[in-house]
Amino acid sequence: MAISRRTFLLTGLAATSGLAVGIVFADDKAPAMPPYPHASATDLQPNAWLQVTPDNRIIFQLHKAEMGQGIMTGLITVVAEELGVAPEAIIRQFSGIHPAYLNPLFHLQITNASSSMVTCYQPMREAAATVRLLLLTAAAQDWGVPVAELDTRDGVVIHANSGKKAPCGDFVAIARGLPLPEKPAFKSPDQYRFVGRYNRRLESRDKVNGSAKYGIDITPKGTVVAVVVRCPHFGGRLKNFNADQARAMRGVLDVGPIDDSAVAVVATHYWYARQAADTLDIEWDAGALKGVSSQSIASDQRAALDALEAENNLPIARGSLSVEYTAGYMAHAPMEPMNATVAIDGDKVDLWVSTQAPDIARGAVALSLGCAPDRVTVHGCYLGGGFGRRVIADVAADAAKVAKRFGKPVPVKVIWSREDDLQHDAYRQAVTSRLYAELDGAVVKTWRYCVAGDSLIYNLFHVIRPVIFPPAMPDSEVEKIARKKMESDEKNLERIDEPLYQLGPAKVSQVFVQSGIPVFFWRSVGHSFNTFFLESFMDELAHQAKVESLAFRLKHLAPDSVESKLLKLAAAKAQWGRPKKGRFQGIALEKIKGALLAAVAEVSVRGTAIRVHKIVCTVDIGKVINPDIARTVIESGIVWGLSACLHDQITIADGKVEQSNFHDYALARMDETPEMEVYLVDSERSPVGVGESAVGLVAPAIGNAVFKATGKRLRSLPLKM
Amino acid sequence: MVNINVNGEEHSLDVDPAMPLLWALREELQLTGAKFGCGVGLCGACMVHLDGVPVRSCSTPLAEAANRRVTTIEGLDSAIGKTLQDAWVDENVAQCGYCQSGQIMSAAALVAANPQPSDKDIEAAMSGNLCRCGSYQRIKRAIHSAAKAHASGEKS
Repeated sequence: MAISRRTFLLTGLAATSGLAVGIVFADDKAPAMPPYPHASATDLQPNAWLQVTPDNRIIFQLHKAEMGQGIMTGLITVVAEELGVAPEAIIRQFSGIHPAYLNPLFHLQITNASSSMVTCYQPMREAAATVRLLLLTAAAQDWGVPVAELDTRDGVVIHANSGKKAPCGDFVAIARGLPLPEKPAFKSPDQYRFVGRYNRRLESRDKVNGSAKYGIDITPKGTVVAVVVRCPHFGGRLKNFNADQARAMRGVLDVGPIDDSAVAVVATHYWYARQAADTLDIEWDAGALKGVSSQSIASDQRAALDALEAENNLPIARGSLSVEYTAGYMAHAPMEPMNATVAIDGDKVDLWVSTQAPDIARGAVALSLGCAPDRVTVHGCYLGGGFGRRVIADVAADAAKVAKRFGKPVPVKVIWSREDDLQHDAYRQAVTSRLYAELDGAVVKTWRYCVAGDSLIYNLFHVIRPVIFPPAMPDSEVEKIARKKMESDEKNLERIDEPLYQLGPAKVSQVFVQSGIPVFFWRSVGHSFNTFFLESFMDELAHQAKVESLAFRLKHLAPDSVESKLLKLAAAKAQWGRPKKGRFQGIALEKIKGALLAAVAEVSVRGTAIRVHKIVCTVDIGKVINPDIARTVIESGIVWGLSACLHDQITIADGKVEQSNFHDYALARMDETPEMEVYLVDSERSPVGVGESAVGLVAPAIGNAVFKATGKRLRSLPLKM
Repeated sequence: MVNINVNGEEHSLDVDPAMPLLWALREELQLTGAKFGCGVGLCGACMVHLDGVPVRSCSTPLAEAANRRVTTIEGLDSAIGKTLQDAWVDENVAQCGYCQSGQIMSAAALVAANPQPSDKDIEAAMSGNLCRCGSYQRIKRAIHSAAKAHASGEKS
């Protein structure tokens, strides 16, 4: 256990939090622009996303992971609007890796942090408006008419005055030779045909007829399948193993270690490999985490908070409230189990993997094989869920190691079981927090927050190591840098750094208690616990002040703020204060990655069973591109939040995870899904991401309702009566 | 050798008869619509029909399917199957979409047996299918609308 402490006043923290992770490239120079992976000698291709072919096809390169959040439809709707063509008429392709596709917030080709729409909206409009203007300019030259008299619609250039029409493709050859326009004009909102209206998810048909290909579905000719048996104890090692029985089993091609803590079984079929793996007789060295449990981690966190409070010498004022909240570990558990396929053919390597970060996956494979990353081609596909898990390239590294060991020029597909997935994830961090506030009548005068838990940024630097550090850098050096980067880690303070309410001066402290359990970004990250803590605490303060919980919130918000409006709208839509008989309501507010949300939950409690009947959610995500898809993703966040606060929990015993499959890591099912109403409010703000937005406010809305129902204040996630 | 009929085609498979049907479909027949999710019959992503009855192919030995009719999402060409798929598209059910083959196979069996299911019927029939994206409310809506469309289609 390692500890690092920090305390600061909550002033200007929000301005620096969130994105400033401080990723430094090994080579700090701007990357040179190589040709696009899809470069063509005949198409119009003025940017990395769009191309128009001479036979009049428009092709879009999707550089983001489509993992359910609807970004494929979102980005294509934006470009379709500027091109004047229906979104479904644009051909969709998964892009390769290219510097043009780097996420400007993270300098990686990564789909994360609800950042796609916020970072891509403007570049997509520009990309499409440029293509349109080039085609119009080429047609104007060809026809000898002014550009201003031309328009494009549905793939055709139109000169209204003369009635002349021709397919866009006819002008590709001329357009290719034109200089790029500097500031192409955008369509004005009153001309919009698709943005704000288009509600059809483009890949839906493929996802209902079984034809959509996820990483696990891609099986190049000659593929062999491997399973990996990894030491169940985090930080443990392989001592020895006996594979005599496994080697003699049907279909088995190879058995052996792939690193110091894992044994792989390669077979012709998954099931043969799995059956053989079950017979392995393996002796593990449990390593440094032997004896570590969820309880010991929580008590280490409490001790660290005690020390922090003693150090800060914080007196408790009369009439104040001081409480402790906790949250346990969580697994991502996307429905598609982890898998990757690697084919080594001479010095050329192909990688098929469902990933949120193809450059991290490519780097991990290159590092495992000891080759240059540009030898590795990453092939895109749909992701069967991501939620942060598929930023990590552990399974791609597994596939590379097995392929290297196997040593034959055939593709090797590694498939993790659900048990592997739940026991070898990097988890939502477990934390212990203490909240304290002083009330002046019914107004919060001052407050403090301190939190103890693992550092995500520390783990992040290990995850992105293959992309940002030279391959030869020793592990000890990587470790040193990761520890140093912890100092800039404010992930455990998310939402606390932007409390939304006017609560007077705050003192915020955090201490990292490094448990050794791998932790990572999990849908909504710090909001997944801090929004619960803060919004529950607001209710506690309202109770103490004897003010109704909505009124207490509004008292601490500017009257005409979006926050106030969303809370009032949610209250009105949910008939706040007038729940059905036997039901109780709770309310919560959230701001995450620029999205603002309020929710009212309607709950009943029978014995120890919490039943959520209805959740009403009001949302401001700026300008909405695809309203119904946004609503589905908010519903998704609500169910995720519900699942997380009523069911899911990963617990640790003896340095390993106790859960193994969906019987003991239960997810919400249809019969417990509440009725959901989602209201998107009109907003002129630039669009923001929606993927993570609704997760955080579900638990506090439910917990606050449970308090009304029972008088019992629940201060731990998951919620247990 | 195990003989099975999948989506109307006869196949003779030279694999261990104890191999789960799921892996025979995916790895021998390259039918990847049925998905691996948990391997132990808890999530329903692998749902297929065996003589019209929904079964979890991850926990059904291939031998059990011998000389019987297997229908996968790729071969779901019944009128109700098509209507459900259309409703799924109209209601924007799929998000990541990974579980949806299994959801639709469960729904198709439900509506075939119970043409006008209530909310409770749908919950009872569908609660064995997990969706990590939480598309449940949309699934329920899609089943209702498909059942309605199917019923009016049969009348006309």
